[in-house]
Amino acid sequence: MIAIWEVIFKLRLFNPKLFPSALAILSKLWEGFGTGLYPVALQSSLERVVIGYFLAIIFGIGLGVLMGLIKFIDDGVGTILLGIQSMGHAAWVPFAVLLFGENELAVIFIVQISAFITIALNTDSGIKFVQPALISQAKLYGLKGVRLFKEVILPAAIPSIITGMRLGWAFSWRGLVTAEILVSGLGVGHVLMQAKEHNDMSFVLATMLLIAAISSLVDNLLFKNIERRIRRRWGLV
Amino acid sequence: MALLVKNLSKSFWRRDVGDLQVLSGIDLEVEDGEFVCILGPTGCGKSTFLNIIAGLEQPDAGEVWIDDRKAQGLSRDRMLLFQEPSLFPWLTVLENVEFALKFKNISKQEIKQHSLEILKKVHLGRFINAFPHELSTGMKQRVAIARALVSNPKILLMDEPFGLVDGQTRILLHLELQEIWQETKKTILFVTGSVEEAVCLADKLYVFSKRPGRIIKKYQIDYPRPRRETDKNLIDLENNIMQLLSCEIEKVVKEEVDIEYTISKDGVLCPIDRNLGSNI
Repeated sequence: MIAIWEVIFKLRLFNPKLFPSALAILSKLWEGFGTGLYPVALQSSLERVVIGYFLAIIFGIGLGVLMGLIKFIDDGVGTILLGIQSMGHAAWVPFAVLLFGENELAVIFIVQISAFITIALNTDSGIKFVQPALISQAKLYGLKGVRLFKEVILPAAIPSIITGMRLGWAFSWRGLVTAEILVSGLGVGHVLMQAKEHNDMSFVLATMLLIAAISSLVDNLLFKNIERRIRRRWGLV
Repeated sequence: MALLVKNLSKSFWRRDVGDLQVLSGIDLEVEDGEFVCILGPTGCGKSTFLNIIAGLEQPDAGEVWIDDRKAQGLSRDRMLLFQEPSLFPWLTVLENVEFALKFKNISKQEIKQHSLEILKKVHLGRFINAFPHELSTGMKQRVAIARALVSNPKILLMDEPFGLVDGQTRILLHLELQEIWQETKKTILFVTGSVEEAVCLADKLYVFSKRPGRIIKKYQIDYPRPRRETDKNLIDLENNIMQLLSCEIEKVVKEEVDIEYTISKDGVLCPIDRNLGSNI
């Protein structure tokens, strides 16, 4: 990848200002870490994304469970959620700013709202599509109500919930960057805007690379593994 | 009398046809320790019948008596086995069997001991730590049988349990089931669409008509056990039943295929321009 990039750069097909060399991008990345700009930005970004994401897990799974179990909630909320999903994260910025002001809370709120819908929808479908035979089987043992849910429905829905959480992680980063660009506060999105102000394309690209790398690093190290292990154990691979 | 069914009827409401009568006026008797098969064409309501006896569904009319007491709702003295093994995929073989006892007041150790014993009986002693998806369909169904037996029900209700198993394995499972039955002296009510299977397994055989399911004939089969599907003694009886059923199956096919359709008697396919004896 880097080699191809470098070759294209060397061919001078594009304006070098807008198509900087790969080495320039990497050295910007290095510089960013050296000056402490990236570590500080990453730290505050990670705090927000993690808090927002955990809130999204709590609300998402909670709402998803209710939707999966109770039909009228599913009918009502399901349609609204799909509508909200199609609106995009940026649409929540004015709402969040008016509600919380231009601060941390607004950013966390946007992260949360970006991730929680996918988690809710996946949880919902996981619970709704538990094999009826498994539920009949459990009823033969006299299981019902909370026990039936805890012992059979929830475990059966786990693979779907994990998939939702994995997608939710990616979505929460999208929400984070959108919010940091549009709201403010020190963070990777803000650094991205700074880079734009300086008219420095290699700085912009370096920051984008950083964001993508961190998000996918966590995905690969954590979620992918968990998902694979669970899907294997549940016999879905 | 282990099970007595009196005048049982059931209908469902379906959007396209309205009220659909599935079972009508079923009377049936099962003695203690008897192996009874119910044979019928697809869609004759045999699964519904088992679900009602298991207590998963309610009949519109009629009564189910277990041990001279009227049956109400679900109970652990009747265990139902589905066509699909319906094991819990997140639990190991042993944990699946233990699940059947988990919600009774039995110590963990006892549960484990019982479960291991039963798993040995169905020859799965080596696979207790495997997950269901690692097993073949036949093995899964064995786990399901073990799980049904472990809670020590009076009656085992089996809904085409070997329908998805391949032929070779099925023959083996038939022998094993007969063995288990003779050993445990359970009462078994076994539903199937296969004549060979029914004749091979049953002491008493009820033949159901097409929908709405009624009993059209009852056979008592007294051949010695263990029987195999290929036993010569059984073949006459199989042919007999096959003929009785073919009218019913024809009716089903006519309904489903929606054109004139007949199953020709002793039909032979041959080219029409063939001279008599030209193929010898």
